[in-house]
Amino acid sequence: MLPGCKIPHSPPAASTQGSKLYHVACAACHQPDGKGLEGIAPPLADSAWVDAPDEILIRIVLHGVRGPLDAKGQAYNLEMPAMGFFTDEEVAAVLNYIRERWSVSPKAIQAEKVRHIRTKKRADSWTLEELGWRP
Amino acid sequence: MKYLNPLSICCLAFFLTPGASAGSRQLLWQTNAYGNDVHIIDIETRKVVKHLVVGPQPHGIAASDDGSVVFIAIENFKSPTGELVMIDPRTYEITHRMEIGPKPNQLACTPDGRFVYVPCNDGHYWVIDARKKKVVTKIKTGGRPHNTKCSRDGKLMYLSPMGSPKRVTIVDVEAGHKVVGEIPYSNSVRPPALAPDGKRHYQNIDGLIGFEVSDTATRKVIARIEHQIPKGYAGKKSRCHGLAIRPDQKEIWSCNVEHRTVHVHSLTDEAFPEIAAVSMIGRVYWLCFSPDSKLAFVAVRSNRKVCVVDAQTKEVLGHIEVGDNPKRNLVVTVKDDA
Ligand code: HEC
Repeated sequence: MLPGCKIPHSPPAASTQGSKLYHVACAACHQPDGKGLEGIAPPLADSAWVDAPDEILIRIVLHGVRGPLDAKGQAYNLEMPAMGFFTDEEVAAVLNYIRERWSVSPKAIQAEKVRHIRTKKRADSWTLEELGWRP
Repeated sequence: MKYLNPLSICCLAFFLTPGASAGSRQLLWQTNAYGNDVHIIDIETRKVVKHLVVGPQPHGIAASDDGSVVFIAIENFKSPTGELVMIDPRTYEITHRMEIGPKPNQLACTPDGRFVYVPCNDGHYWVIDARKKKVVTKIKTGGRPHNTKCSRDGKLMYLSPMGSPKRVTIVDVEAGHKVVGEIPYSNSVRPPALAPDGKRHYQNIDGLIGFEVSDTATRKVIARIEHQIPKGYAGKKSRCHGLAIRPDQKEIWSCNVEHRTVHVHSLTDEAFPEIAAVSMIGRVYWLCFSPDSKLAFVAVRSNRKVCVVDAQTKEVLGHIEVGDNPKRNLVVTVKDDA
């Protein structure tokens, strides 16, 4: 290594796994650039939702969410599918990935928290009123 | 207008017989969109006769007219590719599975079961030759390809992608799967219905609690129909997802998801008046009919149930327990002596 060169960081494991999961499972709707698409899904890029409390994001991925819902000042009335088939580690990884990419001050979500929220069984998607949080 | 209470119905005996001819059985295939399975129900006894594991997140379903093959689209959210599964409904044997584009949804096949159009999340409808088990071509529509209808004569496919296209693409199957036209709708297109005589195409669309109607000859929208908001739901946002024409072509039924209601409109009057509304126990997402127009089967996704409705009196006859988030369903007539 030449003097003055930075040793490249290898990205944390969660990020590599998170990126892979994002592109397979989330980008279909939220798009690879996170900007969303009309009539398909709202943006995640620069959306205040990526800084929603951990529990809110975990619930959205585990059980899905349905409108009406606002993201970046735009109203949506669609439905996101539940992705409870992801393991606790996978849910944490994908959420950490979207935070690393689009949050102004990303805070890590632990798999333990996902595990805890998963124990509160739920059969249907969340509405905004039920989530009790809005951007 | 008639409102019927779902609670009055559970104990009602099932009197209707669906009218399958000797040597044939009519089976309701209910996919469970968040499970890995389908429930198969004999519509005469309303009993689950088979529980079939087909693959992660089975979404769309279609069958050939002769009941020799059922096609199921496996969405598999965890995988970059989806699958098309072919099943012999007489034996429940999975006869073939093939890898296709990502996150396939509601497919359609020609009545002879030869060609299957599968909407995939790469902006294309994948056209599969089910006999050769090969991809023939891919038709680009943009948006998120999602729903599909085939005309009764098998000549035309109507492609309804979600999102920005806001139109239905018409494909001539026999002319080498060539795009021959489009029908613009006023918003993103969701579940469609096509009249058996092919003259009218109907669409649930985003932002409308109701549906739009188009004339397939002129390819223009001729009516915008709003459902009457059921009592107690004024001001509550909803959307419509699930549209089906009773086989006798006299009525169209539409699922109003958040208002937990199925609205029935007359097709014998081109003003398409609402003639009944059937209250449901949960969020409804899809429906189909028995071929003799006697029964309707409504997927109540929030409650893991299929609701059986007398399609003539609109009375709820009962519920059948199915799997996780039941959405698309279909009645398949199986000829045992074939
Ligand atoms: C099938 C399409 C689809 C997929 C796949 C999908 N979403 Fe969504 N998502 C939506 C829709 C639609 C909404 C808005 C629903 C509404 O109108 O209430 C949404 C909303 C959200 C929101 C809140 C609003 C926003 O965009 O800021 C978050 C956060 C989110 N999704 C995260 C994810 C993550 C993480 C994944 C992957 C694990 C994912 N989504 C996969 C369709 C999808």
